[in-house]
Amino acid sequence: MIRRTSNVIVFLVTLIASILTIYTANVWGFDMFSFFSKNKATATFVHASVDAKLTKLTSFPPKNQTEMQTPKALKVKVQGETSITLSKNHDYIDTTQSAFVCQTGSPIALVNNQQSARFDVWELDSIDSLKPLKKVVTNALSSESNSWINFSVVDVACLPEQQLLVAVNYYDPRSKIALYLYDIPKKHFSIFSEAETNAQNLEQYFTQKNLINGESIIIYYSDTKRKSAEIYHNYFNNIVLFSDNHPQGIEILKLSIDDGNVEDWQVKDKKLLLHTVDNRDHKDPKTYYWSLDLSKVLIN
Amino acid sequence: MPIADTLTPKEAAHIATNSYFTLKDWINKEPSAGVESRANIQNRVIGSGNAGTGGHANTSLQSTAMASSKLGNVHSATTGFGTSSGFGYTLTYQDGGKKHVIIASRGTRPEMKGVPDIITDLRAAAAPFGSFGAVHKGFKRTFDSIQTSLKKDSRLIADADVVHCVGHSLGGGVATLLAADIATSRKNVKLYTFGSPRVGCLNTYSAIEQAIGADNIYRVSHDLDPITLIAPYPYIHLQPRPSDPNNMTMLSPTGKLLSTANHDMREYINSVGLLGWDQVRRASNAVDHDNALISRWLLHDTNDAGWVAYASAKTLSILFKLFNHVLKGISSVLILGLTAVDLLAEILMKGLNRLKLLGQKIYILLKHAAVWAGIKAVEGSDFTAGIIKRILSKMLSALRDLAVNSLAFISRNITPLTIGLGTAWALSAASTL
Repeated sequence: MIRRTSNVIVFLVTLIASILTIYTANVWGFDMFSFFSKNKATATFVHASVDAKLTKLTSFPPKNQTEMQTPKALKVKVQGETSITLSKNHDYIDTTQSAFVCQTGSPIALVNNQQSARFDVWELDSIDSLKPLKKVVTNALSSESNSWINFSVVDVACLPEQQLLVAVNYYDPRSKIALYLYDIPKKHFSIFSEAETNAQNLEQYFTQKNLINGESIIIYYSDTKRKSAEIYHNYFNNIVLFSDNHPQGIEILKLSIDDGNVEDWQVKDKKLLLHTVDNRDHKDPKTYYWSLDLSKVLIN
Repeated sequence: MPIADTLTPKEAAHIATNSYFTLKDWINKEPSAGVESRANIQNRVIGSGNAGTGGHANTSLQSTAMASSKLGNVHSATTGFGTSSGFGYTLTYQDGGKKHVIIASRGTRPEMKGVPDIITDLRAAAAPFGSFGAVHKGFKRTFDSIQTSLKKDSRLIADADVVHCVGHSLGGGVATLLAADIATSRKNVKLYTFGSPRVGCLNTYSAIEQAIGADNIYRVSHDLDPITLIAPYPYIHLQPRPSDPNNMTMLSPTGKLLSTANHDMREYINSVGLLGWDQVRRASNAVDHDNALISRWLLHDTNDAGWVAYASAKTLSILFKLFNHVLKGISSVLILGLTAVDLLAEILMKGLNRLKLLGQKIYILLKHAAVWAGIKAVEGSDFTAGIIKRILSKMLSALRDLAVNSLAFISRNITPLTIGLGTAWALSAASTL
């Protein structure tokens, strides 16, 4: 009887304490999302060499019918570990079984190796046969990469000047994304930027458009913020131009969420045209259209 | 890649996430009682994945090997005081001549009017669950309520070669019960949970593991996801030991004490979505499995919870570790997967008389703990169950606050009391054992 009474008392006391604690916390006004109300100074930034302003439009211009459709690197399926075979497969290919092939000069493949939890670079016989010839010895991704639990290539863009932009998922030991530039002739990786996935499309690490004169524009995502449970957005969309004049890339525009995340984009008449949405307030999402004159940084 | 007999981490994580879209208007971020339209569920589960205005990431299975799977029945369950809402779905898939059935269960959504899911979570008392033993009453009631809906799939389940049960948070708890129940018919069942709370009391976990098969259980958690720490001992996780191959406890994305993100499915996708299960296991080896979770939080210098000084925290960290080692010697149940709070509860269970046999060391440690808990200095022989309970109470209180904050409440008017009642129950239960 005494034990039972004691149990009831313990239960009630803890319950009352719980309620008091929680309601006291409410009175304090603790708000775990308060950083959103602090109006963080994170404005859109246009690179000085662009020498133009980001201009608001009233609508998104119709797309140019002749705009080049830019194939990214070819994603192929890997089989085997020490002796590998690559095959084109129109079905879904899991990251752990994937390789990315680019033909910029001689064809090469970046091949995920599930066994070693690393990826390797292979020279291929041809883009048609996909026959691996030999593994390429490259520099390490980072001085820390030996201690990474896992790193795999998740997407690749073929760039001018025999370069690749390689999106790498690595565990240090937390899961992260970084973009690397790979110089094919020099067999050399260099870090381009830490990055994030597209907050609305977790499969997307960047989008790319190749221009007629061999230049390439990439949009990648950074500084992901959590707004509330399961709701995230990228604070920045980073827009980078790669060209003969800028083989290492220049960030022509760093677009803040205040001006929206990119939904659609095109390059027309040397102008970067953006359709963006800021959906942080889901009841009142804001749509914008922008133009940025790139004539000072594009060739010809 | 075909799904073979096992879902990939990405497939399981996407299913655990998109099962939330069965809840009416979750796609618009304003969930309410009722079931979402089938067209919208279809869109979010295996379609283009962009219906709604809520800003959720696309977690459709269209980008996986399961793009050709077929949506079966949408399930509803009752939470709280009889609130019926969309709770998950059945998906069918054929691969290699085998028929697969996937049963997806959603987790808690505290934004619903009347907070029915929270009330379910509050029911932390134990209820019998067949021959398995005692389980969390709230999860059991939800499991019971889903049966009406699930009956429509009884033929599909009976005919399936493999049944996959998937869920996040509360959905992980219900998925565990579903998998155990289906396994009693000797069906090949696989269980995938993300951020699941503990479901079974004491040795119930063992009975459930035996029925499903330990190899068929994929329990993914973040080490600082407070929901995975409830309900406290004597509830025990499936695959509780750090050495259990399918205890895949990953480092939390933020490493912060009050970060609610550690419980988001979005972060679980980020942690495991690009890996195979072997790689997830390898990554989980990076986690310090020592029972020092709370001390890790305390020692996090940018995230001081404000209730203990650094020096005390450091002492506490050592204390937790030593408790662990000491308890290995006196415990008859499995303790390695338990937290520091659990360990103290274990002491209460086993009785102070046995504790005295361990010599002065434990008393010195308890003395440190008492100081931390604000109890005036006591000498070794003066330690009573009452003093240890006070220490325990303080620790549970800290844990409760963490878990309360981990539930994603958007409106301040909605205050989840989850752990408060669970803690009260655990304290009273522990003192009787």
